[in-house]
Amino acid sequence: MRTRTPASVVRIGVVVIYLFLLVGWPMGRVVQETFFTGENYLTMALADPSLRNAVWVTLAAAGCAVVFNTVLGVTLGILLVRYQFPGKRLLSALADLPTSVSPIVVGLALLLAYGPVHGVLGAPLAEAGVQLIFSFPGIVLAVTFVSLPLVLRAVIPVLQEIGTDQETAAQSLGASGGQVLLRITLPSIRWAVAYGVVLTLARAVGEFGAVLVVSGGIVNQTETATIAVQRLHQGFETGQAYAIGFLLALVAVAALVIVTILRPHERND
Amino acid sequence: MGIEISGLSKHYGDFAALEDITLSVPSGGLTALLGPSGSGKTTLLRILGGQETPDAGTVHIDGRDVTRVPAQQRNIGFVFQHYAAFKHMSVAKNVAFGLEIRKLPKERIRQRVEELLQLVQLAQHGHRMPSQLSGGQRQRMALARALAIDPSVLLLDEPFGALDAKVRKELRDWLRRLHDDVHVTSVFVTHDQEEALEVADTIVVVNEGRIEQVGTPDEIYDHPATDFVFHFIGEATRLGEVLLRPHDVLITAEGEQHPVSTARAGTISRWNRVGFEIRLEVTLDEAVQQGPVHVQLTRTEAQGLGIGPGDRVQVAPHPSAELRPAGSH
Repeated sequence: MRTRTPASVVRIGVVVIYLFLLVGWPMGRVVQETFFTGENYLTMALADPSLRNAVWVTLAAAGCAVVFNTVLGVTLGILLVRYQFPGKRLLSALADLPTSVSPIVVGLALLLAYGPVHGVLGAPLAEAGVQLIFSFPGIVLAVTFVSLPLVLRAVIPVLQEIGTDQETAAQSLGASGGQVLLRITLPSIRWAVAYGVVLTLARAVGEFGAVLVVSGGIVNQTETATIAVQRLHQGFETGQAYAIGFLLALVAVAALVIVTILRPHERND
Repeated sequence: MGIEISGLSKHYGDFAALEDITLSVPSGGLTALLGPSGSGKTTLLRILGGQETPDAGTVHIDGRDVTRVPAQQRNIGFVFQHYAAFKHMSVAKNVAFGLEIRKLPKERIRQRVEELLQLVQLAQHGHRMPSQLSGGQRQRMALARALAIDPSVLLLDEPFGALDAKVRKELRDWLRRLHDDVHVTSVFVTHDQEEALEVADTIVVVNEGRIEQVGTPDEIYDHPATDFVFHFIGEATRLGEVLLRPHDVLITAEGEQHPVSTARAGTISRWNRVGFEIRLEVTLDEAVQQGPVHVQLTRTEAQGLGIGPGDRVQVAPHPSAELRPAGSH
C-alpha cells in the first residue's frame, strides 16, 4: 500500500467524479424517479399484467441464453485451449463476432434466416407450423446470439492459466476423460463460468435492438422488458418506464453483487 | 521385470527427440534420466507415463506391453515439477483422488490416506488447501497422491526444479530415504548432475535423443564413456595434452618437491574463494595450451600448501586421475 499524497488524492478524485457523473448520478436519477416522485411506480408497474408478462419473457429468454451459452462456452473453450485443429482461429474469431456486430444487424440477419416470409429455413418451418420469429424462440435466438462469447471469453484465460498438469495428473491416477472433466476441469473454472454467466445474464436481460426486430413486440405476448420501457416512455407513462428500468438494473447489480460476495472464498494458487 | 524399453523413437516434425532408445530399468531402483534441456529426457518420461506415443519401439512395464495403453490404465504415479496439486481439493482429498476413482470403500480410503500423510510427514495438514502449503510440502503431497494407487512405477519430472536451494536439498535427502523404505521402481528426470549423483542408484545420461551412458553414479563420474558425459557430469580443465577434473590437479608451491616429475611451472593468475572451496587458475610458463589450468582445492588444502594469489607453482595430473586426451577442446 502506497502512502497517500496530494497527487494520489487528485487522481482518485478525478476517477470518482468521472464515474459519478457517468454512472452513479444517472442511475440514481432512475431510482429517484421510480420511488421518490410521489408515487411508488414499481408496485404500479408490477400490478400491470402486460408488464409482468414482459418481465417474465425477458427473464425466461435470458435463462435460456445462459444455459445455451454456458454449455457452448465451456465446450468451445476447452476445444480452443486444449486441442489443435484446422480452422481454430477462424472459429475463435467467429465466436467473437456477435459482440462486435450491432444488435440491430443481428436482428435483421436472424429475420432473413429464420423469418416466416423470406427466411431460408423459416419459410419451410412456418409451413410446418413452427414459428421462430415474432415468437418466444425468436427472442431466445436473439439474446443467445448477442451474449454468445461472454462465457467463452471468461473461461479461456483461466483454462490457459491452469494448464494441463492437473488433468494429466488425474489421468495418471486412473481418471477417465469424463471424470477429469467433472472432478478437475469444471471445478477449476467454476468461478470463471459464474462470472461469464453473470455477464451473459446482464447482456441478455438488457438486449433491445436485436429483440425489437425479431420479437415484433406484441404486448402480452412477445414484448420484453426493454421493449416495454420504450413503449411506456413513448406513451408518456414515464414513471413506470423508470420502474421497469430500475428492475433491469437491479438484476444486473444483484448478479454482480452475488459474484463479488462469493468470490473472496475462492482460494487461488 | 522393471521397465524394458526397446528401439524407441519419437520425432516432432524434422526434430528427432528420441532416436532408437533401448534401456532396461531394474525393478525397485531409483533411476535418474540426466541430460541438458532438449536432450529428450522429458519426452522419454512422458512416453513411459503414456502422455506421448512413440513413433516406433515398445515399452514393457513388469512384463506387460504398455506401448499403446492409455495413461489412465497404466497404474503409474506421476509427480510434476510444478506439483499439479488439485487446487480446489484439500490435501487429504488430493491424496484420496486415485483411490476414489478406484471406488474403494470409504473407510479403507480414510485409513490409506492417513498412512500416506504420515509417511510424507503431512499428518497434521490433511484438512488444509494446497495453497496453504509450502512448495516442499506440496511436492510431498503430490508424492503421497502418486503413491496412493500403489503404482508399478513412479515417474518424477524435475521434481525439485521449482524449489529453492535449501528445500531442494532437504527434499532430495528425504526422497532418497523414502525410496529406501518404499522400494517402488522410480524414474526421475533432472538436468542437475549433482542431484542425479546424490539421489540415484542408476544414472542414464541422455543427449540429443540418444543414451550416452548408463551406470552407477560412481561409474559415470569416474569412468565417463564419452566426452559429452565427461564434460556434462562435472567440471573439466585442460593440462597440456590431457583433460581432467579440476580437483584432480596436483599443485605445489615452486621450490617444493612435486610428486610428479613432469610437473609444469606456472603462476596463479586468478584466485576465487567460494565458501569452503578455492577455485584458482594457473597460467603455464610454456605455451602448451590456450587459457589457464583450473584447479579446485579446499581452503584447508590451500593453507597446508602455503600458496596464495600471484604465487609461483607447479601443476601435474594426480597419478590416479581419470585422464582424457584433449582433442579439439
